[in-house]
Amino acid sequence: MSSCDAETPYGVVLFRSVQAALAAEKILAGEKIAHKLIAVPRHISSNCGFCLRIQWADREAVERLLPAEKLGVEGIVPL
Amino acid sequence: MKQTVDARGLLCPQPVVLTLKALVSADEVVTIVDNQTAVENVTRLARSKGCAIAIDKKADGIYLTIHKGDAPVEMTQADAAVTCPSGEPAAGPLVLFVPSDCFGRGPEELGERLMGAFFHTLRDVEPKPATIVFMNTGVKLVVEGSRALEDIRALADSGIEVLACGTCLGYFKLMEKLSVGRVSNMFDIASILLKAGKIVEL
Repeated sequence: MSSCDAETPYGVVLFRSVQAALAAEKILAGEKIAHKLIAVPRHISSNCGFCLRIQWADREAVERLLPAEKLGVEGIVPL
Repeated sequence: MKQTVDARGLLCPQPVVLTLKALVSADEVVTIVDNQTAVENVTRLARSKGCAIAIDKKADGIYLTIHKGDAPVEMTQADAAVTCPSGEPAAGPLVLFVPSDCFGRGPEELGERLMGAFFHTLRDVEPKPATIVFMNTGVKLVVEGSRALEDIRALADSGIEVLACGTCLGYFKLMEKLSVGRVSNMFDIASILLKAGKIVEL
């Protein structure tokens, strides 16, 4: 599942550090946005071993809540 | 009478057991093996039974030719309990032992998340354990509210036996919250650990 179509059910938020991933996890939990902290899948490369799996449909809301520069977000990619 | 035992591809203790069975009735046994451990084990067996042994390494395997001595070869109680050296895959199921809700030693915040990520990843890696035993604070992973619950449930649904220590659930007052697997006791857990071919402890 590497296509970027809107039907992809999950995406992952990648981070520059573990601390950034943990901080983002707290923000999404506070906003009641479904998420799951998982190990970065083998086929994706990231600085941090953790990433947050989210519903692809929530991507825009997540982007708003986690400003990339401020929160060390590397990107959001489909799973 | 001559007998051939093809033990290539077989794990300890099979080459020894099959050779011994053959030696009981045959005067000459040729056991073919494919690894050094089997060579050593069968050689040890032959010598302990007073047999002569010749080792011939061929392209398709190592041929161990054993000539029975004057005395008859019998299977004894000790032979039945052949022990296999560690480091070799032993017969018996793979058991995952989880004695903590944290993966590794260090900050809880990190350990709990590593454990969650481990069970999520376990769904996609092989080999799968036959049984997962949750003990001590490990039982917190199989109760309501656990971050690993969904993944452990999926593993249980795929046929993996999930056991939670009943004493531990009782200690943490979590018995009512058990959400996946079944409550187990020390007799079952001790037996599962002792019969395991391999135990992986987190």
